[in-house]
Amino acid sequence: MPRVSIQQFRASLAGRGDANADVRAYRELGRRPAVAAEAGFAAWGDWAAPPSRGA
Amino acid sequence: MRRYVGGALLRRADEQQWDAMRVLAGLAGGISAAGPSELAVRACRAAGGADEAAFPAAASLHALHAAIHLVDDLIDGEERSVVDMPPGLRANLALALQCMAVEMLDEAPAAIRAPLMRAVAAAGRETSRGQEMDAAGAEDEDAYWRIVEAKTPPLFTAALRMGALSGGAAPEDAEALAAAGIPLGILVQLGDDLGDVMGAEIHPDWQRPGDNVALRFALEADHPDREHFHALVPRVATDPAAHAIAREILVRSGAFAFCVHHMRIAAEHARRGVLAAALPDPAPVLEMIDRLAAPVTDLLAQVGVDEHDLEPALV
Repeated sequence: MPRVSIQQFRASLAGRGDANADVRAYRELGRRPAVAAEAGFAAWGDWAAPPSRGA
Repeated sequence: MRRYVGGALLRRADEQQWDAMRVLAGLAGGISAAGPSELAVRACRAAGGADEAAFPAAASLHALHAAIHLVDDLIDGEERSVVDMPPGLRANLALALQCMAVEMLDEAPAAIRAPLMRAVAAAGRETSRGQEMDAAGAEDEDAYWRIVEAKTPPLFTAALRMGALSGGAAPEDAEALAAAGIPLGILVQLGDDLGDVMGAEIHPDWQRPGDNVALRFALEADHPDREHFHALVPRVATDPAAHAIAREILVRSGAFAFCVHHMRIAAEHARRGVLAAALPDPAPVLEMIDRLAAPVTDLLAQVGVDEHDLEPALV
């Protein structure tokens, strides 16, 4: 799998040049903490929850 | 499937008058629709089999999954547990569940019984190695990814392999489908990392920030809030305000988006892997990947982006 590093990713976000659609989307995500806070983490966590919590 | 799995556990619990095992059997009704047992059933369907053909594999995977969770909680020092027992006895219960994960496959057709048993045994062994690597901690970013690949994917590769074999897939086709379990496991682990730090509860990851890629990002990336974040992390456990600010920085710094990006990549690779397996009907497995990736799709939609308009690679 292609994998961008932490430093590469941050540099893409902070870059001043023309950004591609991905970077624009991720920058917008960084400006929307309320949206991030309400994301459906519970659905992801089901994989890792103990049986009592639905795993 | 849930009734079959619960029944398989309960029979063994009753045979030995084992109350703790009865507790676990009673919880089988809550098996996640996004868990490995369900994944095995869907892989079986994708291979052309009836759902019932995958039930022994589903029961086996559930037993292994429960064992992994019991041990994971012990390693994390989690005091709450699904069974109210001292740590040593919880480890003992996990050992029994791992044995049962093999034993339950006795109900699978003879022709595939041995491959199924090998698959679940390998998944348990590989996950145990991954757990040990995880407990040692990630010294750098590359080590983090090595641990993720070691710890989480084996259960998913096993679910796909066992489900496909149960559905009648040829061994080579089952192997091809199993390969999709690697990115699928990474997708799940990244979602788990995000959930652990973005939730209202203080998760143990805050005490070991190098082992959570979102926290690692905020600590290491070159962003304006980095020093502030370093100062906040030790206070998170006792200061709700620090916790709230730290979570905001996770979003503002790009740590949150970093996880979202890698979840997108992982989901896309998982989809490609499923399609490469050339099974009669990949749709049931693809639907499950979409379900696991749905929070990412929803997040992007909320910032006005259609995920299909994005490129799979950032740089």
